[in-house]
Amino acid sequence: MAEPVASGGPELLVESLFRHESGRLVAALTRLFGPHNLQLAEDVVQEALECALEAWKFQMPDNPTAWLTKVARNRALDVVRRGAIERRFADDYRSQLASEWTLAATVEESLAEASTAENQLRMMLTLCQPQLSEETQVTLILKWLCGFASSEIAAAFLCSEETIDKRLQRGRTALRQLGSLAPATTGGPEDPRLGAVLRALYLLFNEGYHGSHPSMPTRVVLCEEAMRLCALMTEKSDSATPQAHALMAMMCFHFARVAGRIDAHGVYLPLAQQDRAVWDRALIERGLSHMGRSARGPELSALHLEAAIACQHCLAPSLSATDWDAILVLYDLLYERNASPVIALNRALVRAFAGDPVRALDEAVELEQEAVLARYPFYWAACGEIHALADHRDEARRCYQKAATLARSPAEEAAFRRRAAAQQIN
Amino acid sequence: MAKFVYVFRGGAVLQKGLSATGLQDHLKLWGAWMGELAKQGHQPAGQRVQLSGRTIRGKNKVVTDGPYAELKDLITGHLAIEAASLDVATELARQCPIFLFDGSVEVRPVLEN
Repeated sequence: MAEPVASGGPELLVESLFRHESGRLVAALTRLFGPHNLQLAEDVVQEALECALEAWKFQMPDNPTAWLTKVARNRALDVVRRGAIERRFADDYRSQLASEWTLAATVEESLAEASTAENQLRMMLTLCQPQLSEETQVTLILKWLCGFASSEIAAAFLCSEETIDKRLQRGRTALRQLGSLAPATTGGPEDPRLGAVLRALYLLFNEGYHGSHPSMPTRVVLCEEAMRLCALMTEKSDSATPQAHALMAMMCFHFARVAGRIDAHGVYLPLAQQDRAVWDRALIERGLSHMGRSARGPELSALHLEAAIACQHCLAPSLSATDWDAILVLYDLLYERNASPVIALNRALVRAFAGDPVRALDEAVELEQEAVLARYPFYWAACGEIHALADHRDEARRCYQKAATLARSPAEEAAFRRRAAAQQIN
Repeated sequence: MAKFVYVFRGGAVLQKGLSATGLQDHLKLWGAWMGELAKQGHQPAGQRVQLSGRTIRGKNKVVTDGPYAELKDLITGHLAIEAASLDVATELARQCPIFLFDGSVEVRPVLEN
């Protein structure tokens, strides 16, 4: 007899469930099978997800995560039993997987939800191999921790699927040399692996927040993934370094303002016109808590300074009531640590807001020599802003128009054109 | 209202290597289709079937394991619904997401005494 379709409707299908389950299960199985058997772990997970689609199309199970875990467990037990002789599994689990006395319990423990955070942290530390470029590390994180396909990663980074597949191939080759996932216990805050993970997450967040995608000015999902993964670090005492908290604080402060950045037409709003009432106060609070916890140890890192700058913007009641002098001091310190032209440009802009547009203009003009800035639309937009603050309307308009011709997305272009036009009206 | 049975063959099972998001998006379409059938009072009642099993055939009742058909002919589920006519049942079936992956739906009226 056919069963009536019960209450298990699509509302149980939470956003990104398949993607997140994929990341969770790949890490759990790679822990057991070893990074050299990553493909095997991926196959088991793919099969479980395909099974779920068939099984769930008429009715969702009450607990989708438990359902998937059970299917993955059974497949994993099969794989281990069948491969017992010819396959070498993870070095740190070889004996537990070899004996029927411990096999099932070991597989179940690794797949348990309670192990997820540790599995994913270990996976993340493993994927950030020092011989791989940061772009490659981010690609591997998106693939194996966030469950994105090559085509989806390529779309996010505006590059070809072939480029992404090459990076994945490099990753697979590096992982093949490893017998087990990196341990979650680290060598203290100085452990270079922690720095590598933080840099990769920083890059991931920035790609989402300031990215160059033509139709999606902010890819919220990339920001959310960076924050979710960073939380794995800040929630575990061993990896919760001051820098990890500083990065988390910075991401909270930026992401809290995401709702105000774009108007109803998808056009960027300058800070002066953003509605501060829509900023996410709870997230700002969370940022403050992380910033508090980042204030330990001897080092004032670039991440600390970036978090502090973003914090100043979040706490200011309006553009004019912003403590520009304090932000300028932070930029000076940031420039000491990282003398990049982009930081110099931001500092010049802050100097103009702090009341010295003449010196700011000198600095900005000097930066035109920098190859990375000449075709950077925000260079011209910043020059426009500084000219406007110095009351040079014509120059300001010309700079905004130049920025518009270099814009990377319609949202950027519309924002610059709007600002150019504003110089004429007033 | 007359009763009908939909027999589903093939579909997403044909498409190996769909991304996690792709699988979830497809499942969402099924949820929406089923939800619409229920909302419009067609009383959908389905049964999920595993894709493996056995077939028993012939006078000698020979039992064979595993899939018995090419994937495109593999039965991937069946669903009982109520509809005013075969035409209505057919039109409802045409909205099923199975066609995105080249599956088929057979619509069969249920014989009633």
